[in-house]
Amino acid sequence: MKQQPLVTIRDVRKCYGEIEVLKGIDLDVMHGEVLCLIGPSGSGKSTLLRCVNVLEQIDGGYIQVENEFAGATVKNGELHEPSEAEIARYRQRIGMVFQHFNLFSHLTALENVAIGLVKVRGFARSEAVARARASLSDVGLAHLENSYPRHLSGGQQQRVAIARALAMEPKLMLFDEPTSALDPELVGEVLSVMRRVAERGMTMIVVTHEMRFARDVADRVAFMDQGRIAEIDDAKKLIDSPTSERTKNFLNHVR
Amino acid sequence: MILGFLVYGFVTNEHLEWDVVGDYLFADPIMEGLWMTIKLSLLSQLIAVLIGCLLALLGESRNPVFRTFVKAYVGLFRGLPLLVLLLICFNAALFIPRVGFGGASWDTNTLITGFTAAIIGLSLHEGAFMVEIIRAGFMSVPPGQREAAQVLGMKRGLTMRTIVIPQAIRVIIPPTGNQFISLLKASSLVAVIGGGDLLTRAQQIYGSNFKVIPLLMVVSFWYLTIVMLATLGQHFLEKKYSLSAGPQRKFMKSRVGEASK
Repeated sequence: MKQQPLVTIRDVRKCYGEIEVLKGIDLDVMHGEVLCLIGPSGSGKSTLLRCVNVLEQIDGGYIQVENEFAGATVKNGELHEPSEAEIARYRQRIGMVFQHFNLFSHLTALENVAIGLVKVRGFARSEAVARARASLSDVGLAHLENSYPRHLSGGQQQRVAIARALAMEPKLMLFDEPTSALDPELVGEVLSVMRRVAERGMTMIVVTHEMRFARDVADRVAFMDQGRIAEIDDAKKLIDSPTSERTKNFLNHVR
Repeated sequence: MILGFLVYGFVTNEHLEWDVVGDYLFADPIMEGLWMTIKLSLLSQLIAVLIGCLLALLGESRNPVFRTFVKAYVGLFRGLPLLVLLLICFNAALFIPRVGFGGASWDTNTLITGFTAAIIGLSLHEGAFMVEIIRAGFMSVPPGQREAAQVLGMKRGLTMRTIVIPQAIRVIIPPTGNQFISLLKASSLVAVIGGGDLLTRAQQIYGSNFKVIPLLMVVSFWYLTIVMLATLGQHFLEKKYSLSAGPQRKFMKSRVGEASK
């Protein structure tokens, strides 16, 4: 792990109307680091993740990925609201996997993976197909490339979604509760794909309730509570011997 | 039993003069009128779809002026009875004597014929319904689909073209078919402004020979025929675009096929 942050989050605040859901988050994620965000629902984990790729606009502080600001551009030393194209370009370095997969329901597995390569990266179709195939076989689904999402199990859909994100060659992968919508027996296949992605050195921020995954795969774990990072530490240390009472309480509940 | 008597009575009713019906069924003026009805309906439907797409997109816009405009359009043209709207279009010259763009302008009276008034009236009316149908189609696409497209780096326009519209089409097609069928029938209203459609032609004929009922039978026959054809077409489209049959357009079908050989 290189000691240089890929993601810098400083004093980030986010409000929905009157309610402040992020109350000043400071966080660095290093190149190649896997960071798991854990915490009770409503603690702001998913919101933070969505702020990183500008699905939500932040109301204070800043987020930088590869020295580019999320939801802001620098012109002549001043921050400006970015154009749509600038946001789109910013997002290209970030892959995201959703809780409910969000595969394009009118496209096959292969087309789901290839469409971003063709329409966003501007690849020739034949090359996009080749890459998409490689990406699908990477998650063990080469044989299902012509299936539509509704004919795939939840676990298979999520693996296609991971392939779709990885095919774009992102620098950072965001996982928003990737196994929470899955039947228990399908969780394992998705986690093992994620584990392989991590082992290849991908920088990842994972919102999850899978404590064993967090303990075994993550470098660090951050426990979020009520819009703040309550505790952040080495993964094994935080999960095996948490220091704060709130973290202990939470971990006792999920175990 | 009762139905049998009714049908028998209907078939043998001498006022229907079936031989006259036969004479006029394929008569030239009737054929011209039929063609005009089809032309009016297709053209108006086409313009209405364009209006619908444009305004549905404007309705999605972040600018409140556009959204208000769309609401006003739908409220106005869905609220006005088609017959009233057609009469207003036909008599437009009474309150807009000349129309023009830039330097050029034309006398409204020369522009507004029965045909153009019919097209304008039918399109505006049908357009109001199409806006709602297309908007409902857009809204039927789950927001997660747009988010997934956005995080791939797609902009709004591209997301719309590649993700939202292909999925919305399935929801838009069936009610559009229904709309078209009601438009086919509603187009007979243009007879009041001399639109030259099927009913206009039949009225012209029975105005001179007083064979009212036989000619209305001819008109009924043709309306039922084209509505039946349109219904068949609609079934075909629905099947083609339905979820169970899989998507309609494979964005890279042929290439995928080649590559897998």
